[in-house]
Amino acid sequence: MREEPIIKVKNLTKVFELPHERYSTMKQHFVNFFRQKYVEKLKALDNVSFEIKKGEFFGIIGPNGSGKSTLLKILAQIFQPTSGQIEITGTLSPFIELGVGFNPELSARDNVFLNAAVLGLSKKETEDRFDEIIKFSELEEFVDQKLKNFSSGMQVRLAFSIAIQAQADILLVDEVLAVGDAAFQQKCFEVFRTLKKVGKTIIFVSHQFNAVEDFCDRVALLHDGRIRSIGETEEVVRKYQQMTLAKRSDTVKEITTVDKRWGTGEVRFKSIKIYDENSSEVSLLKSGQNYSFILDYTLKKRVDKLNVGIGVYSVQGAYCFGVNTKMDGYGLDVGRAVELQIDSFPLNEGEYYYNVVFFGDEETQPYDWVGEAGRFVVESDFLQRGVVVLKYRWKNSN
Amino acid sequence: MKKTNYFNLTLQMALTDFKLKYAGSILGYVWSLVKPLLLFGVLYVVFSIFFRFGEGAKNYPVYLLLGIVMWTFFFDGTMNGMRSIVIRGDLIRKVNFPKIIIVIAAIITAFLSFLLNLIVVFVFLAFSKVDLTIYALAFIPIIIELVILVLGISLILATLYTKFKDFMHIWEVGLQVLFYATPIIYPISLVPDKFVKFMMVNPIAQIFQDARWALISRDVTTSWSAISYPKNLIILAMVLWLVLVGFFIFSKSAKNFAEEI
Repeated sequence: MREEPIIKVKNLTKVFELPHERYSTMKQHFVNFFRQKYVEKLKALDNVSFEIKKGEFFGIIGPNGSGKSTLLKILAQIFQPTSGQIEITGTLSPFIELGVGFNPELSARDNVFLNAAVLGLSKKETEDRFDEIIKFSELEEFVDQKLKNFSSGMQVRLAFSIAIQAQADILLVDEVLAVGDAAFQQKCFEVFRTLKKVGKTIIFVSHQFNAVEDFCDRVALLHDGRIRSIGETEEVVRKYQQMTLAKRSDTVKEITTVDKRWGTGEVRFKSIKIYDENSSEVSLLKSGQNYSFILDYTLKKRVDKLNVGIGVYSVQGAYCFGVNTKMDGYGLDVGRAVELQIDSFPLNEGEYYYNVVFFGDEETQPYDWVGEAGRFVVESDFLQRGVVVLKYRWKNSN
Repeated sequence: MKKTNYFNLTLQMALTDFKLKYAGSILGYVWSLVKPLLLFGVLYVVFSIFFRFGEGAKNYPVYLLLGIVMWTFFFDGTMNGMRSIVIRGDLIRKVNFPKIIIVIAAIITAFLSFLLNLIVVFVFLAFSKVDLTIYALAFIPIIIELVILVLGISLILATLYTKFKDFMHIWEVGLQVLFYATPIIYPISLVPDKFVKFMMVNPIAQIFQDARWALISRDVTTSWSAISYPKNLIILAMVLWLVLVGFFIFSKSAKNFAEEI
């Protein structure tokens, strides 16, 4: 028999209205008091739906600002949804953050009673569990010390020890593992495992996927307020990693297309392919070998004259060499691919990139100028230092 | 959270605030006894010895002290209540529970000081020539009315204060006005007759005078003698109306507190 979900979220949307506070003087405030204020609308959650079954360890991951914490706060009924439904069967711990309501001026003992009350424990229940709480926190000697004299680690230990006493079916955990040392985190997870064994449901929010990977049964990936992926932990975490990577290469591409390409557009650069002596394509070159660079392009308009140039730079920024057909006085056949043959490749090991330019008469008025059009890596057997490899010899001079 | 345990949360919050109020001071709780006594001393010297208000009321010192103690509760209760929601903003943003608990806890904190102050009042009563009679029992429903009034005002102010911080200043001025509009330091017998009726429509005046009637003397002017039954019931209606309006606007806004503060 299929188990009924303990949490059902359907088409949940949350819009925050951020007022533009632009009135600075009392008079302006007064004048604008009854007027409609300008507000900026921020969609923190956009049509989110999912279900969580009883006893699941459910993770919510996503980059900062993806809506994770908003979602958790709506589940905890702290924020009101703008639209959509939430159905929760069972009690929910308000375990959003550790040590809620802690007061530094009070003793650890008083804080235990206060925090336990916040978590919904009665006075009797707190008294019954007081010793257990203190024992777990390993703070027996400091019970009557004021909390302000505690280190942050001690405070977290105390807070966690109280929090796990919350008698709820569902626990909401928001980034608690970001604080505390490795030993403490381990202790946290041991507790979570035990709680899971007794059938509690845990919803765990994090942007660190390793923690999620280790413990969650199922994970939802949130991005820009939408669920991008939901399911098996491994699969979703992989998607999240891909997403973060894709985002990085997106930015690189953008720079290339926006900032590093310009020209009148009659000719458009297509690609450079590098071939070794055996005519097989390579991206890993070896110093001292012979290579052919084949430059391909498309003609958008008929041009009478075509020149091609290539400049190679090390990734550290050194201009290694630059050649073009105009300087060499070589006449190209317009429309056919260009081959640049380099004998005994002179660059030392390292990573390089190249700029490519297509132009007519003047290099300063290119058809197409492409910065960082491509990259290649060079390996070297030469025992030399620097950017280039030399053919050289030593000799005793007299 | 289980419903039954909201009681514990309310109590813990109230006790915490009460403890914190005196944390770090040497005299501690003694301050809640000393403070009204000091205020009483000053006012007594000024108004009894210099201005001779004492001639207008029987047992003026107890009359004055009871007024001051009740006023202190009204003042602290509404002030604490008004600010409570904003002060507990951190908690509201992290835990869901009925927000009214916060306001109630703030009023309980003020009420605990009030109870301590009442001890001083009763000691004074014992030493003055006042005989406590069966009428003193009326003091209990009078206090209940005062608490309800404080709750009603606090709920309204707390809601407004989350949106407009101006209410802090507005209420300070309001309290100043009420302090002089209410017979706290002066006996009502000094007020010209034509104003007495208007003065007694004020629920605070009604409560204070009734309290004096119950504890000190049957001769004081109350809403019963100044306005007469059943017209004086309008005052009670005002208190009920205030608390109902308070509940209404507070519960309407409470669910948005977490996002607004």
